[in-house]
This record gives sequence, structure tokens and C-alpha cells, in this order.
Amino acid sequence: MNDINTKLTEIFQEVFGDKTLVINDEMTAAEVADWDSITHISLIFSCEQAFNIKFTLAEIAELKNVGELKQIIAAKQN
Amino acid sequence: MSKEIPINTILNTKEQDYPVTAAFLAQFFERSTLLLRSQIMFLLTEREAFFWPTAEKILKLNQNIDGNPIDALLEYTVAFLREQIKFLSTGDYRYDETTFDDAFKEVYDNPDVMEAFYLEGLLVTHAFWPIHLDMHRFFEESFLQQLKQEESLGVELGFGHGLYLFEILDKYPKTKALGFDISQYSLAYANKLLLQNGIAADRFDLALGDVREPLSFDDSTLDWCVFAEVLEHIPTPDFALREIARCLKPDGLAFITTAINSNAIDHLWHFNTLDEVTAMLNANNLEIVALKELPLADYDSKSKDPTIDCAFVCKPLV
Repeated sequence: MNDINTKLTEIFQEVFGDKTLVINDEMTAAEVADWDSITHISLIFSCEQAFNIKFTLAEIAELKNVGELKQIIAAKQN
Repeated sequence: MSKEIPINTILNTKEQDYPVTAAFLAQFFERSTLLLRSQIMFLLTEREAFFWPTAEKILKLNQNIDGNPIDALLEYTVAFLREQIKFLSTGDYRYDETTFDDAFKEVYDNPDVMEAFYLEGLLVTHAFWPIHLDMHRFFEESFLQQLKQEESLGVELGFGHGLYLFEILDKYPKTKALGFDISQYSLAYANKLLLQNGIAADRFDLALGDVREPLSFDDSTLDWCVFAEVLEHIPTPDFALREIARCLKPDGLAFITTAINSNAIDHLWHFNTLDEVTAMLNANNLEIVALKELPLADYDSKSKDPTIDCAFVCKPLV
């Protein structure tokens, strides 16, 4: 999970253009100013490339927070 | 993932008049944690008067052909956004003028795209994407209401889901419509949409057709033509526009739309500016009588999406 957290932090920093951004499991889109539809798909797209996985439509649409994103990535890697 | 929205209060006041839309939105907001939430809230607050009846009409059309509109809307939106993100990084559309056949194979002739989400998803964006709802309002106010009440004949080229054909045939009982589309799946979908929503079979005739080839009409024979969201999909837009101008009667009207800096799973002709589009229309014998420019930035100034949709009502240059 630590590897996932490190890579995911880099992805968030890149997508939101903020090198100081720190993520935590409870973080939601409401707490990140520019987290809208297009940055959401940008995050998903970057995660798919970085972790060599593919998200389903339900996972993309129903994602609740960063912790859930990490769980999905971990499950797909196993 | 967005801030909690008092959506139930809004739905409670509308569910009597617009039950299908209210039920759709209740499920949608349950399902989607982020995608399209702010856009739909914009519609509920800034486009209330036009949104509710339009959404109810489109969802009922879809309901009558056993649709699954939430999945289709989400999947169409995600597919669009994925392509737009690639465009922001590369500056290129998915296809170009030399690869139309690939787009045909991978999209228009592919049931896993067309039947799975494309046609239904695009149909319902006309209610649930602010930019497409506003385009639909422009269609109704600047084109549909200008058509003749008496007997008339028109054509839609690239009719896709068939919404525009329905609107015209439903409003004008004396008009007859022809339609051509390159996709067998569009043909089946639009036929079903029209027939199962009360349009008599003898009032329209849809067929497979390719706008890269000449239209099968004599000069100055059509009262109207719809050519919506096709220009950016074809390698020969100049030729298709000249054919439309040739076939329209001198007082005939064309409704034409396209997208600027907007990639999608099947776009290939990249317009960079509105001037490029207007110049192309004028160069191919079409005079613009009404124009609507719809930049995504007008709806969300912080969005990184540079999409500009544009719609025109044209008449043939004499």
C-alpha cells in the first residue's frame, strides 16, 4: 500500500499541478478545488497507465474517496 | 465526491410534472459521486424552464425503446473525457482525414460501441450536458420554429439517434423526412425511436448512406436539411456542405453543428476556431442566418476543457 500511496501522491500532484499536495484516505473531491469531471478522468487515466490496470465504469462513477481508490488499485494489482 | 447537494428538495417539487426526469435524477445522484453532478446542478438552477420539459421528453423517447440512460450517459461522458484528455496532451484528434475507415470499423460499425452506449448516451446528453441542452434550445428556437407548416420534404444526414428527426416530424404533421447514416446501428436505433414514439412509418424513410458521395436529390428540391455533429467526423466536409447547398430550395434552411478543439472517440476533422467553420460554410455556398457559439468555458471558467460547440442555421447562397 505504501508503494501505491507514493505513486498516487505523484499522480495527484501532477494532475492538480501542486507539488505540495498531500493525500489521505478520507480525501474527497469536495476538498480539492480543481477536482472536477475532467480532472477526475485525468486521475483515472494516469492511474491506469501507472499501475497498468483498467477501471470499470461503476468504479469511475461511484468512487467515494482516495482510500477507496487505493483499495481498487490494490485489488486489481493482486 | 462533491459537496452534498439538497437535490431532494428540488426533485420533490418537480416529480408530479416531470416524473421520469425526477426518478432519473434521484438515481443518478445516488450513483454518480462526481461526474456531471455540477453540470446537472447548473441545469437545475440556471436552465430550469427549458431543462425539465426537454429532459422529460428525451427520457420518455428513450424509455419507449427500453433504454438504460444512466449507464449510457456516464459511459458516453467518460469516453469523451478520456479522448479530450489525450487531445490536451497531444493536440491531435483520435483520427485524421486518412483514417476514416478505422473510425467506421471501430465505432460506427461496432455494436459494442454504438449499441452499448454511443447512440443512447449521445441522445441523453441533449438533456444532461449543459452545452448540448443549449444547442438543443437553439435548434428549437432558431431552426425548428422557422420551418414551414405546409407540406414539405427534408433530409437529415448522419441522423445517429434520430432525435432531430423526431422533433421535426412530431411538430410538423405535414412534413416528410428522409435520412441517411453510415451506421447500420444508427439506422436500426433511429427507426425504432421514431416508430415506437408515434411517428407513422409512411412519414419517413431512413437508409444507409455516405456523405462522401453525392446526394441523390435534384438541385433545389429540399425544404430543410439537418447536418448535426457530422462535419468533425468526415474527411470531406467541404464536399458535403456544397451538396447540401445544391439540394436546398432557395428558401430552404439547414441546421448545421460542429465542435472546435473537442476530441471524441470518432472525431477526425479538427477545427481550431469559429472563423474556420464560418469560412468553410461560406466557401461552400451557405449563408449563415443564425449562429450560436457555445464555449465550455462559459459554463465552467475553471475547466481545462477547451471545447467550443457551434450551431448554425444556413440558407443557400443564391
